[in-house]
Amino acid sequence: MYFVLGATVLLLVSIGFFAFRSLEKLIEESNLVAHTNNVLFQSEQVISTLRDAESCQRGYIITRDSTFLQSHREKLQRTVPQMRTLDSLLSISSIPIQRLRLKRLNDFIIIRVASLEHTLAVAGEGQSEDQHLRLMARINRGRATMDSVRVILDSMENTEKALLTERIKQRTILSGDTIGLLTLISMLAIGLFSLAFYSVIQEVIRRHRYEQQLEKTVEDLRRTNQNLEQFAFVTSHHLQEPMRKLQTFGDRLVQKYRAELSTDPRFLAERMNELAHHMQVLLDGLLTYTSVGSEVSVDSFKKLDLSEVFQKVVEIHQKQIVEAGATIQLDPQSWIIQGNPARLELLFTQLLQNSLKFALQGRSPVISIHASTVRGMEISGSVGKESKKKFVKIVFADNGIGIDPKYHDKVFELFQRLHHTKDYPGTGLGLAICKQIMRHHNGYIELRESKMGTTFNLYLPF
Amino acid sequence: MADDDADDRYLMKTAFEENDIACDLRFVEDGTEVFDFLKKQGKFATEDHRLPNLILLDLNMPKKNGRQVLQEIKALPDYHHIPVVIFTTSKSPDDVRLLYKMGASSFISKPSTFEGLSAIVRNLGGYWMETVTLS
Repeated sequence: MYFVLGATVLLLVSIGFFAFRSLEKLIEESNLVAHTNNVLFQSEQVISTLRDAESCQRGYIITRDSTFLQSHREKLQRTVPQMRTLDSLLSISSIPIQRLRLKRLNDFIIIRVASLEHTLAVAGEGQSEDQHLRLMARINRGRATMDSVRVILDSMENTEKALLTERIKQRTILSGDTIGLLTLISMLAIGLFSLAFYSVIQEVIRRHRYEQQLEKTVEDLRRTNQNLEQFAFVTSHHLQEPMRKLQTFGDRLVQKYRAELSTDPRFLAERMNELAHHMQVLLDGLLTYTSVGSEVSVDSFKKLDLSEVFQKVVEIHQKQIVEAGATIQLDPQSWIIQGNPARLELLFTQLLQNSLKFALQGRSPVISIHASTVRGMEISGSVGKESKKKFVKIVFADNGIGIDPKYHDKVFELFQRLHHTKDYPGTGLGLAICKQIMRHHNGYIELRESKMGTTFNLYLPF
Repeated sequence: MADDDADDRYLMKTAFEENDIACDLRFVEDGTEVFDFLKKQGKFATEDHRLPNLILLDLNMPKKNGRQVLQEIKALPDYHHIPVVIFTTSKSPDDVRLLYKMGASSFISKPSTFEGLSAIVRNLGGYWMETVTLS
């Protein structure tokens, strides 16, 4: 398509160039034709002036009226500029022989003018028979000179006429050629342009179709995703009911018949109860995980102060914090963002509980949290278009057992656990829930390598 | 108590008996039966009982769910004075807010141990039968 467009443009430019060149040539040829006509006209002028001069002289000789003489001299003087014009015309262009002829013509005209003067002198001497005879001889000689002038002028005219015919013929051929060429190039350009237009239209149609397909795919994907979320939610919700009853009945069995059960069956029943309880906790976590990711609650976003949210979480867990002997270092400034307060509260709860749970034995836990403003490009997992967006960066750090860097990505996955349940009880859902909440807020969560304990970087857009 | 689940009805009955709650506990099995019971019609046409002092209502029931039942009770002048306590598996904050808004007197999540259920039943008895005055 680009080739066709390029060719069209090239063709249009060449049309312009050819048209210009042809027009230039045409004008040149027309000028030459006009020039030839001018030469013909000027030579006619010369001869008619000489003839006029001669007839004036004759009139003077017959009538002796001095006005004829006056007019005769004027006519003779006029030949000088006329010859000059002819000379300049022939000097511009035309063939060399014409200039030679002009030179000879000039000589003859000088002779003719001299002979006319002589005739006048003879005529002025008197009117005797002898003088009359001499006058007649002079007039006859003048006529002979005049004939020579005539012959030269005729040959000049003939040459110019032949030139004119040739030039007119040239011009006709040239204009015919030009029109043909221009028509051809124009047709070609129209053809190519139509081709280009057609391919552009084709491309537009193709893209439009592709776009529609893409939209449909996105819509399908969204629906599938929604179904999946719905499925996860409904499943965990409905599994809760039998799980709860399983626990209740198991609990009832152990409590009511404790005295009647021997150690072994009681141990089995108690294990079953514990597992049912664990299952219940998992289901609760799964339910939380699926509900924090649902799109519906984007409407519930409002302006809030993150440090207030964190303070509230600390207050709720005051008892746990005191029991663990933990110190909380909270950056006192406020960090205003758009978010869902209940979910951000859940996020901080998960992080706080993690820090308290994974504290290093023999060291009292210190949890510090502070914030700053950064650009999107500083975030390792950020997408290109977000590189200029502003984010609140929250650094959440503790001095606990820490996480091996090789597990840094894995800990955010669903049901991923790094420790045995007997060492650190849990579901493997906490950080997955955190990541889901961050995703729901168009934010990011990552683990940072640190010398001691665990450090999370949280990025939330303004 | 309105609950479609036989297990839950059995557990509730046991908990009431074990904790010696002195009251006439009656059960209905779905939303429509709530109104059959109140109006003494359908399968309750021949029974002789007074209007309940308190209704324990499950949310997830066939035919007519707990939300609809609550809405209808609160819209009927003969019954809207009866306190309705929601007793359900749901813990959804949205449900809690909505049901209080609709006129529920309490919202209780079903516990997962029998001990928990016993505690709830004792509290219910202590509060609704000894602390407050019912009409």
